[in-house]
Amino acid sequence: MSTLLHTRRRHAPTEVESNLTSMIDVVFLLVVFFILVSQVVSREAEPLDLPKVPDAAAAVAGEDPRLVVNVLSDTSQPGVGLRAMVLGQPFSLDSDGCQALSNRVAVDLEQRPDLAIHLRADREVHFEWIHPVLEALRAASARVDGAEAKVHLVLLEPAS
Amino acid sequence: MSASETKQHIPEDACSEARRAQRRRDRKFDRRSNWRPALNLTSMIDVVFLLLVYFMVATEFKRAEVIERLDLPNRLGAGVADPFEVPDHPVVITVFSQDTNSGRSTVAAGFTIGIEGPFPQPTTLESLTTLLSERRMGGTGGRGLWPDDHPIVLRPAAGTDWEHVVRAFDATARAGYNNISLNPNAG
Repeated sequence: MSTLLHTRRRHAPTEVESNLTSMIDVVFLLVVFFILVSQVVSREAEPLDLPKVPDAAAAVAGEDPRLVVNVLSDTSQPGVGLRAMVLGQPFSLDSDGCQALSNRVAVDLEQRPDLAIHLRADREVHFEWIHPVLEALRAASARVDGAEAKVHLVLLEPAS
Repeated sequence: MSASETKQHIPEDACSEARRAQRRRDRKFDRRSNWRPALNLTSMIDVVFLLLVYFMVATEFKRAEVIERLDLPNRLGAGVADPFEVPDHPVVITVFSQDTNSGRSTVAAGFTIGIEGPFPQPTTLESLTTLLSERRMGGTGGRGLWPDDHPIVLRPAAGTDWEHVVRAFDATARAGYNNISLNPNAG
């Protein structure tokens, strides 16, 4: 062995490598999961302030088929209902919009008569804006044969 | 050893730059050496972790949502009235938010509840629950006369916040009744 080669060998850095393939697999899986989950959540449930009820006699929603009706508040006018949202589709709260909402809910009730309707309303919306929505849900249920309006009020889980 | 090692006796200064480069290439592509192509994944992992952290922070970990059953009575269809049924006069509970029109941006601080009829007026939600539970058959005290499905109508006044309606609904439902409806025009 020559001195040249000998010195080169001695100075060659030792590389310790780990196999990162499985870690990258897992991390990509997590990234995809979070992307999908954030999209699903924003599609069905609009961001709003749910009513807070201390020690409410409420139950955690199961996995039964449901249709979520959101009632959003107007941020510029407190207490005024702005619109109702069903799966990202907006409905105004006047008589025309409520008629359209009733038709929309009736279409889903035709397919699944046991559909539960979850009413997510902002806590500061006044009741006179919620009432037309309730009437629209009741009208939709009355129009579909064999359907009964199983309306559930959604509220925030009480802090334990 | 490899082919390059056989040329080791050539003095270093005699090697031209081209020959040294040739020798390096020879060593690289020598079949017997352990050289393998490797990919440096460090920067990709950095980016992916950055994305992961971003999505974890951007995701709202919400508090769970719970539901209360409100089975709207289906009274729009033409129902046939039972002639032998004793008409039940519903209990009407009024809800009214205080100082609703003061330009606030949040829910009003307090609200007033009341029962129409010859009942002691409840001041808090707890007293409303107690009052209704004492009048229910099988409720507290055991002297109540109202069945579980005795009709109870919540009548929120105009301008009542939805949260206060839900609270009054919850207090009524906790007394054990299951026929509660919301109607601003009742009574």
